[in-house]
Amino acid sequence: MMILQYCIYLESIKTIRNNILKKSSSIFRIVLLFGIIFITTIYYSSYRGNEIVDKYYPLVDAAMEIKLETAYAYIEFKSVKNSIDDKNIDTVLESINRAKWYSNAMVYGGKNSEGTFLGLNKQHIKSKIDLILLDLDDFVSSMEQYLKIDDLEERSKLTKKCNFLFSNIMLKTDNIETILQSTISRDLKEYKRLKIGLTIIAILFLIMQLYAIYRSEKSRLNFISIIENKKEELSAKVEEKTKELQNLNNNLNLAFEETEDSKIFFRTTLDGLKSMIIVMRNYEIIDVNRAFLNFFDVETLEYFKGNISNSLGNLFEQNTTHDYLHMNRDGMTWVEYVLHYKSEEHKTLIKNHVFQVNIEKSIKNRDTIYVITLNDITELEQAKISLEDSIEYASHIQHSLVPNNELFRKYCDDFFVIWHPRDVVGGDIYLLEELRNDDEMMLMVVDCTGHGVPGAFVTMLVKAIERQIVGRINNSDEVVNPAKLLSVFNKSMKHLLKQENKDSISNSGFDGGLLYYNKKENKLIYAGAKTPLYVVQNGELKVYKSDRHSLGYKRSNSSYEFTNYIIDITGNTQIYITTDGFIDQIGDGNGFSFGKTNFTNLINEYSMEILSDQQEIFLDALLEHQGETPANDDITVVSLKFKRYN
Amino acid sequence: MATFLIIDDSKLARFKQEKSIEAAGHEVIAMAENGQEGVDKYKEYNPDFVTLDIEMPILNGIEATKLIKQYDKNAKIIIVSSVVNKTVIKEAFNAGALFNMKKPFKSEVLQRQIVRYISEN
Repeated sequence: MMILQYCIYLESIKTIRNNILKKSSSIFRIVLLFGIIFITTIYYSSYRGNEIVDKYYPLVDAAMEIKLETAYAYIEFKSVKNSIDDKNIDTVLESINRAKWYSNAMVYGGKNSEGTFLGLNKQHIKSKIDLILLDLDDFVSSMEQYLKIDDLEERSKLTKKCNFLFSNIMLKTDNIETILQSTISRDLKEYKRLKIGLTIIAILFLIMQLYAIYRSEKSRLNFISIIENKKEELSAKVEEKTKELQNLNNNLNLAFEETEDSKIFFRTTLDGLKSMIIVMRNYEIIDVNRAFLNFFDVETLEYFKGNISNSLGNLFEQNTTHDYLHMNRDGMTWVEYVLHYKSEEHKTLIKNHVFQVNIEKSIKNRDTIYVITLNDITELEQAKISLEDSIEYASHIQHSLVPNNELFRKYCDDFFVIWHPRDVVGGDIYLLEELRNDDEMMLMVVDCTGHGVPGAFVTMLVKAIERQIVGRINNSDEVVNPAKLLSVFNKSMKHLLKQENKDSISNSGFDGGLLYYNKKENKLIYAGAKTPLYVVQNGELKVYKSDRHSLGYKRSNSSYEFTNYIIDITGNTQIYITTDGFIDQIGDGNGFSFGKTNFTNLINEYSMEILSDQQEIFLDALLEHQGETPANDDITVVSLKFKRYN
Repeated sequence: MATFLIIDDSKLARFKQEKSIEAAGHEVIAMAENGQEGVDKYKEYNPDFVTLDIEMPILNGIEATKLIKQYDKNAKIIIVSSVVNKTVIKEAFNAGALFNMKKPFKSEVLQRQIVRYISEN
């Protein structure tokens, strides 16, 4: 009894000591954590500072070098052009090559006697530099062509082209320089904020350390007094412990009986499951549940192994057109493949039944144990295929509503359309209609309630109303008035969906823009419902914000009067209409939407490019922002370019 | 090393694809900016592979695929397009395209897909 008492006493002292150590270790952990935060902040601060100095400033220099070298090449070319004998453009080519070297250094990084250049990571600036590289190549080929020919008219054309390319390269490089400068100024502001944050963290760190030391000393004194008190408490506990030991034997016997019960309960549960459960040890089937035996119509696992198959993978159908699991895939066994791509859904086909496959792996006594679950999803798959076929057909119908490219080309100098429904069908649509004669057309960009199938239904309704309106216009001499047409849409939607009263169950409608173009009058008229029109004329962007009033919803006012915006086509005029999908797309990791500012910046920076290139740039910018995040809405952007007809 | 013909109306898209194909260790022997020019260049250069946009002026990607396949039934055509509509993609496959690469994509993704596509074909 004395030994037991001593042991318990020792154990208690150990516990108290461990408690002290635990408390000290948690204090140590807090100090360590703050230390790490402090060091990380210092490191990040110095990294940001160095990044501004090492990355952006050399890139600004590189942009200036591109301008310098291009300007030098241009001047050299002019002097070669004017000289009678010496037609050697080696110096021009050297300058262009140096400009190209700096352009590539801005994209991929590089090192020369001027310094080290770290490559940019912004895709849309990279695209801009790619365009400069293309212009530089064009510049060289135009110069070489100029020197090869004698025809004065051709030479004049090539001189104009060289001048255009030169100013284009200068403008683009200037633009990149401005972007870099604003990045530096933004980063410097951020750096200042970081420094203030660092000071606050340092003060917090100091306070925490002092507090930790105070807590540690207080704990130490507390525990010394606890040890003294504990001595007395322990004697009383010895008796209690002895009784507990006596009861232990009885409890062990009970526990054994419970384990046996658990085994029976576990077996019954497994056999009661509809899914097939297979347990494999190193690929050898060692146990299965009743559902498995029933599926193969056998009584025992031994019979199955002897007469049907001793391997599960052998049962998988090999010749299927679907993406089902086979014995081996991508150089792995099917088990390795499933475990490697665990987050994906795996399916296999056995005896014309589709099964969803899940595997759990564990190691026991140096053996690998696999527990495989096969869920029969045949009916679900058939329903899914039938549903997909229906939706695909619906997509076919919806696609037949959108205009073909030839119609765009008939009225516009250039165009691009980005139409990406979030699902197979969507609530976004764009419509283009020829009106009374070859001079008039009407474009609509529409974002209906919701997306997927419900959204697509509303687009069909919009199309039906639009056809009715077009029919009316074609049978009248009235001047087309987009604002009035939006009011017609508003009333018709409310009427057709019975949304004129507040008790109506449905509440569908749309936001969108309606653009009327009259080629003969060189005029555009636009009216929009929560859908702005972006217009670029003579390099200047103007945004017509449109009315903040949606169409057709219960809350939409039937007598609301929309506003017309009239734009005279004085020269090259580019318009952009987008639904909110592009602007509201959530970014990868940061949770922020793409934003109106970024969208406006894209137009400002790239409106001078041809529209097929602009489409690439818009898509790249969206990809860069979106990353792996799925689309949160349907996305539609339509851009048209008009020229003035006399 | 395989040879490629790039058909795309965007200069920037052609440039980006050219860089990706070359980075994957293959050669771009010709480029075209519309479907008709693409068909002509195919006949002239007989490339191993064609990358082709769907929406292009003069002759679209689906029509160009049909004409290329008429000329050479073994032509290997990869669609590289921002069109997501399944009906259009199906039409392209029915015309003879073997693979669809949706724009936009990262350059490394195109490189990886090209390597995979070539090894499978």
